[in-house]
Amino acid sequence: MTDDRIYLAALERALKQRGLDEFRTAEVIREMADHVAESGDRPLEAFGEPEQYAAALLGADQPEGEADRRYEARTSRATAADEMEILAELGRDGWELTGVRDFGLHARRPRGSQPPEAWRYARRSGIRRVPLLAEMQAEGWTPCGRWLTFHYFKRPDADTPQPHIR
Amino acid sequence: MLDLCVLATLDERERHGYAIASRLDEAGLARVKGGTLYPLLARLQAAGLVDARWEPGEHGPSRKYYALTDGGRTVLREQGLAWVGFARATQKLIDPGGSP
Repeated sequence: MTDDRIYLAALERALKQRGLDEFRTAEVIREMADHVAESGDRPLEAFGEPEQYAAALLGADQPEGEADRRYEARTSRATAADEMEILAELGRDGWELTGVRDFGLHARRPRGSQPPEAWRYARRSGIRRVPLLAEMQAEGWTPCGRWLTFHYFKRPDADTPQPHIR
Repeated sequence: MLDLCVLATLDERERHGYAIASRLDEAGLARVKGGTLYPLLARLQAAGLVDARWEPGEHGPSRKYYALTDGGRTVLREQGLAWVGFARATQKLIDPGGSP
């Protein structure tokens, strides 16, 4: 087996371990083989360690073991067209946005029987981050993620009635 | 702003992954590694900005092509303009004479 084949086999294993189905795994391998054949790159140099590449490709979050046990976590998929709607619903249900990565909305909510605090979200668009942050922070908003020139902010909404837990 | 640059290469035409990397290289940007490019393409696809399809190869196995969606085109136009404005302002400040 050549080094490249060993690499591809390791990547295949890593992708499957992360729950990617057979079909999609084969596509990833085929696309990488295509790239390597045309560029002349070695997979390890061009794509890094198989484990890390699999994690990057599947947008993996931090390892489970490092998650804060006081909170439950969820990731919602969104697009530039619907993310504010999704955030409004998450906020009503007590989900606090902890990060935005390419429209994966990462949120957490305290565990326990207490109804969680509701959150409000805002999005601003701009290149000049510093004045924008200052302006929003003056109004009590905390930055909680960015993507391209979109900046997302959160604020606990104490005025919102107790959220309805589904 | 690699995301925007990748979207821009796809505004010209649909391309496969290596062709995107080559176009960025040719445009004078650093050579983007596969380990950076494909996760980025996957994220753009998940965000609905890019679509992908497999095309049977002429001489070999099939190949994955990426194309801009309408959403991707809108984001490229809006965000691209913001960046161009920012780049112009920066250039004016750093190089007021506008050397060629």
